[in-house]
Amino acid sequence: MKEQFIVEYKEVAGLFELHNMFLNTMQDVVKNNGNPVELADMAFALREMSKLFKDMEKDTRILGELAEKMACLKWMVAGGDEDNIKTDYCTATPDMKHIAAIPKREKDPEAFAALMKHFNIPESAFPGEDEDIVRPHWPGVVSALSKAMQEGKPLPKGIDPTKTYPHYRLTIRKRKDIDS
Amino acid sequence: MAKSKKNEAAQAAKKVEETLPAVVTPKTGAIAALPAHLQEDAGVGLEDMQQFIRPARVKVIQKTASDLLLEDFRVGDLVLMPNKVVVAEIAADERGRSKEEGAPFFFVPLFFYAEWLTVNPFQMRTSLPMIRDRTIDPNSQLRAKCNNQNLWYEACPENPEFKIRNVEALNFVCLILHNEQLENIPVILSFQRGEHRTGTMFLSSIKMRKAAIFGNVFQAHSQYRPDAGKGDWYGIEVENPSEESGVSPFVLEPEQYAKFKAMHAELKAAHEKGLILADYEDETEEAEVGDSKGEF
Repeated sequence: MKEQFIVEYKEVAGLFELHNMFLNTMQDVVKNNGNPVELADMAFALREMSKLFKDMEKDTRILGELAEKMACLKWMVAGGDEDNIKTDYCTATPDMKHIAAIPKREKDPEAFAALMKHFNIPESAFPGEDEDIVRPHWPGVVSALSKAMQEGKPLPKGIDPTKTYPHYRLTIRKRKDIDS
Repeated sequence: MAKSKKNEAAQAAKKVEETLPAVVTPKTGAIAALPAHLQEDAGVGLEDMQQFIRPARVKVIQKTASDLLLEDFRVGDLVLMPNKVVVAEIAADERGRSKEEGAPFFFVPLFFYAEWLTVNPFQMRTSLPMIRDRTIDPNSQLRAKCNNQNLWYEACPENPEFKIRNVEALNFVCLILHNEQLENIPVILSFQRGEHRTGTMFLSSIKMRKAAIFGNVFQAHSQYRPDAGKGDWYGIEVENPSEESGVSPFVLEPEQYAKFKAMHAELKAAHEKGLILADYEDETEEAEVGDSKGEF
């Protein structure tokens, strides 16, 4: 593993420990404080801290997802026979789903109707406006597309093949602690 | 090259020759026509050349193709190079212009490999070859450059005014099916630059099927790329076989599967020895023409 990532992991783990200690200590300080001004400031400070952590989590997750996607792409291009990527720290198994843009009824009613027909949905179930009983559920469509791809079946009618793309994820199993 | 390694490579090439059809390693078949005193030494001095496998390549005819090609083919036609045999045609609309989608063809991908290239600037074509450097070594510096967007372009050492381009090519050695003229001829489908994404999509389609690469059947056609910003640019779209075609997405006959498996093994062995040589000189040149015109 790259040294920067080991160092950063240790930094974050250290901060996590320190912050947990701070929160535990402050439980009593908050509970036993009768000053509304001080309590409002504490609430404000904790809310701001929470925002920082959320931002940090989001940015960390996004970079992690990019690393997952890149790992899958490079693993595919490497063209090996192995089903997974083994490192000293983890075993990562690439997983791919097929994502597609669902045609919008307003912009492309023909494609939308073709898609619904493909899934055997009668027209009476989607007359439009507030009378629709059935609408495409995106995760369900993604799952159906992925199944079709696995079985070598063509894309459902109405799905534009040029507006499809694979979604790459890694299932990661830990083999060794980063700070071990 | 050490003698033993050379022998090893020659043996691997011979094995490939035995499995793959003659078109892969073309033979003249004209030994008998040679004068008697030349027959004994026929081919001497060409051993190294014969080791290489040069599969024909499926080329999309672009508007930047040579006049010679444009005389015989329509923009968007899929043609086998250098044989110049049509793989799949594209029809014309009422104004005589190529339609957006060509006719499909069906194929089995036998083997996949990536190659990394350095392409010289089109402007230097009279003094430099189109392909400056090429490697299949995944640990090479060139591969690292191709994988780093900031290093795709570098100043051309011979003329820093122009840029050399580092390119990753995704190559699939395939067998075309249901076409008497082309059946059993391994061909290369190569995806690079603007078509690289199609190559990765194709790779992931293969991976999603879970079957061995040579157990799958796909269909492909030439496709107009309106959003590519390249003018009248056509790419190759790869899909699962359509329902109308009635073609199975998997190789159904065990005998055929065993044959494809053997071909895969031979190609893999040849690749490990660096013996598969894709010829994409003209493809690269056309892409460079487009680049130099600022079309994409």
